[in-house]
Amino acid sequence: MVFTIADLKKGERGVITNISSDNIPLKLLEMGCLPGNTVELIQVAPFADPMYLDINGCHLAIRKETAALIVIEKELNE
Amino acid sequence: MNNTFQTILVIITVGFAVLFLVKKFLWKPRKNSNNSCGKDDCGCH
Amino acid sequence: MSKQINVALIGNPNTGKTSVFNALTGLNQKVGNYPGITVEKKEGLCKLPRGVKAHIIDLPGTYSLNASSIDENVVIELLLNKNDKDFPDVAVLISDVENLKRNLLLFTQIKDLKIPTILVINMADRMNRKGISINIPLLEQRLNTIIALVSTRKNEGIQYLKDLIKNYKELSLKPCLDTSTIDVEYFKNLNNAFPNQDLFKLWLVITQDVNFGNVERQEIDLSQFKTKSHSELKRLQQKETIKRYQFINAVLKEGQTIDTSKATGFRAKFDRILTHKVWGYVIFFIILLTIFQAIYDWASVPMDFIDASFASLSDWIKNTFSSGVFTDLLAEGIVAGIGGIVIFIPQIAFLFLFISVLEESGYMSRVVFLMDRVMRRFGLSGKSVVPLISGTACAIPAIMATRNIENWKERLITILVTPFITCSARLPVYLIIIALVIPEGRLLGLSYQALTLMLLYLIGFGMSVFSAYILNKVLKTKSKSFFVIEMPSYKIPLLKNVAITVVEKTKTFVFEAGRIILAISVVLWVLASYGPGKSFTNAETIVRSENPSLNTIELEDKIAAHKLEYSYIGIIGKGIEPVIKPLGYDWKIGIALVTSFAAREVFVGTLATIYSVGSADAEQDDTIKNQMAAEVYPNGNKIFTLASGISLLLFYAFAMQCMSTLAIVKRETNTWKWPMIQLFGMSSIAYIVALITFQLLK
Repeated sequence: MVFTIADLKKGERGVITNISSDNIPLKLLEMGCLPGNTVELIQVAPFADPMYLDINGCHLAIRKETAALIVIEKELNE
Repeated sequence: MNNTFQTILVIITVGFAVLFLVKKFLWKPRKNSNNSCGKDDCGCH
Repeated sequence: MSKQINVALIGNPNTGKTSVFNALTGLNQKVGNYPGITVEKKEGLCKLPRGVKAHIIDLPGTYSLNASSIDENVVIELLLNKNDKDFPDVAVLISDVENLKRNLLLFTQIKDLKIPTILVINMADRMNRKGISINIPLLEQRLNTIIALVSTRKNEGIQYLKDLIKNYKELSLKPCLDTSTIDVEYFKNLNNAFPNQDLFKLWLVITQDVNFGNVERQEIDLSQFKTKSHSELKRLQQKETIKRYQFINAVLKEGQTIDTSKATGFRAKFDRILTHKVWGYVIFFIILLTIFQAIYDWASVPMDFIDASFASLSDWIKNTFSSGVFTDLLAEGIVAGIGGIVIFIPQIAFLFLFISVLEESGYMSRVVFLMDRVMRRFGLSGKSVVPLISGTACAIPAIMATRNIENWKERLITILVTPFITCSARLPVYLIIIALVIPEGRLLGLSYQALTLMLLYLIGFGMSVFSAYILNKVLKTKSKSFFVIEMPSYKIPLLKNVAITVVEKTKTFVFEAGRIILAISVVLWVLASYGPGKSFTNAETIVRSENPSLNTIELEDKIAAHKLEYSYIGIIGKGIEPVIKPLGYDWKIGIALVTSFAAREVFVGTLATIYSVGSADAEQDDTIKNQMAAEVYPNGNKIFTLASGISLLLFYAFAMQCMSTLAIVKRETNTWKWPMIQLFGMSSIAYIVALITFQLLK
């Protein structure tokens, strides 16, 4: 099963592995959403949408449908 | 004398007001040739 | 006489670019529009050492030269066009010390266009608190630039920046990235086809087609060149972005150290409460209520003062200048018209004061975050919150605030529904009708009158949300749903920025709305002061003979009322009476409805004249109230009953009467289609609702 940012729970982190390129706005990549960068879910609004993320030091919020396009590898750090 | 002068002023003022309104509301939107619309709408309809 | 240096301020949003602009230009700035599009153009003059002047243009904030909205497009259009009179001699890239990595992406792109660039690292006062330290000489060397550490809050670094701008010719033109490394084969072909053009510039021109719009390609004709497919180009752009970040990461690894143990962060703590699932919303609503209450209370003092001042001015003019038609026009048309505009300045200024503080502090992004999901159900965006709130002061600046909504459909719907929000101009109308027809009494500690007012606000808001919902289903405009909002760190708002914003927004209202309102006031004055036929011209004689026993003042009032009845406006009012009778209105109210087209609050003043309440007494709400309460139909029934009162309230709640709003909507949507739809749609709704209400309640 493919794990995307949309599947993160609050406080969890992951590393971006793949981006289904065509649907992701270039702007997101330019803001630091690139393979190899870490993502942490800071807060969710009700219904998990939008998602307040910390991507590589950049704090931003995106809608769930966009988050679902970014594949990550969840960081298991307990 | 005074009355005519005043009447003229009124006509001029009202003339300006009407012209202004006509320009604002009846002027064809200036075509902007700089942007053509790509995927996202740039407001040209 | 030295030439002016053209400077362009570029940078990501939320880097304090505006603060730097304000620090450089002070009040020597002006805001205009780029020709043909609705993007604000901010420029100003800055005095540099030794009498040199700089013309500074504050470009819209953007994350990269790859534009995804109209205002980002402005940036790239300017930078690709050497012949533009604003083409910069030097670019000043504003970055913020906490987000250096991301800010540098744009920096490397501008450097690659071979434009001399100064790197400003702003918010330097936060460096210590965040445990950040920077090796400036190393960064300057690797990035081929000169760096100015600036803190607008502490007013440090600005002088140094001015020196750097003056000496811009000493800046290196070496680019950061070799563009051809993105795809060697492709760029080799490109170079062969256009040997005289800079590769990166070519690349931008090609890709802008992919991203957004069509950049003016006067110099380059790419129709011959076989370029790659859309998705291939996008993939190359991603590759380019990755390469740039690789470069930036390498540079920052050596040049910047972050000691997280030293970092103190309020952001996390604040965010936990302010974006909390429950408390976040509670806090937001409390803030909203506080703002409304404050505006209501604070604004009434200056408003009363303005009201009185303009009334005195009007009287003074009548007494001082020789009597005649122009004096009347001046006193009754022009001064009254201007007074009607100025009186709303306190409310608008206060509202924008609060909104600006919320934005500068960073809180507004959290609000957008909280509200986005809810808004989207109705076809709006989280970013629609600011326009909708602003609409409670005046729809005009509110509609202009929709410019940052990326999604065209969401933006359009926001523009269309904002006028339903109860704006300041509706208040005088509401207040007088409520005072007239709503009975005394309390429910749960609040008077019926207060409750009715609250209800009207809720109805306005409810209607805007509901119609957004309908429009969302009906409109077939296709648009990408693309939403990204940066969550900046919390900051204490800079007073200077807030003040400049308030002044700008108020000026917009006064000039945009004001000119139209004034022009319409003049026209309406003419229609009210002249009339065909003997009944009008012989008003004085007629009234005198009908009322032989009245004293001069009361006689004058009666004459004024008679003249109004037989003026052109009076004829219009009587003409529409059959149409508005089912709503419970008579021709006198009809006249007032027509004059409301200048501005809604004119309703009250017009009624005062019609019911021959002299201008002095119009101040006394009691007098005009009593007069209105006494008004009857020919058959003796009262005109202002609960039924007709509520019908009138609802009519004003829904009708589109504000011509200034229509003009702004036309400008922002670039067509007459939408304002016309608004006009007919809203007026129909108003008519039907008022009709049903009256027929049900009478």
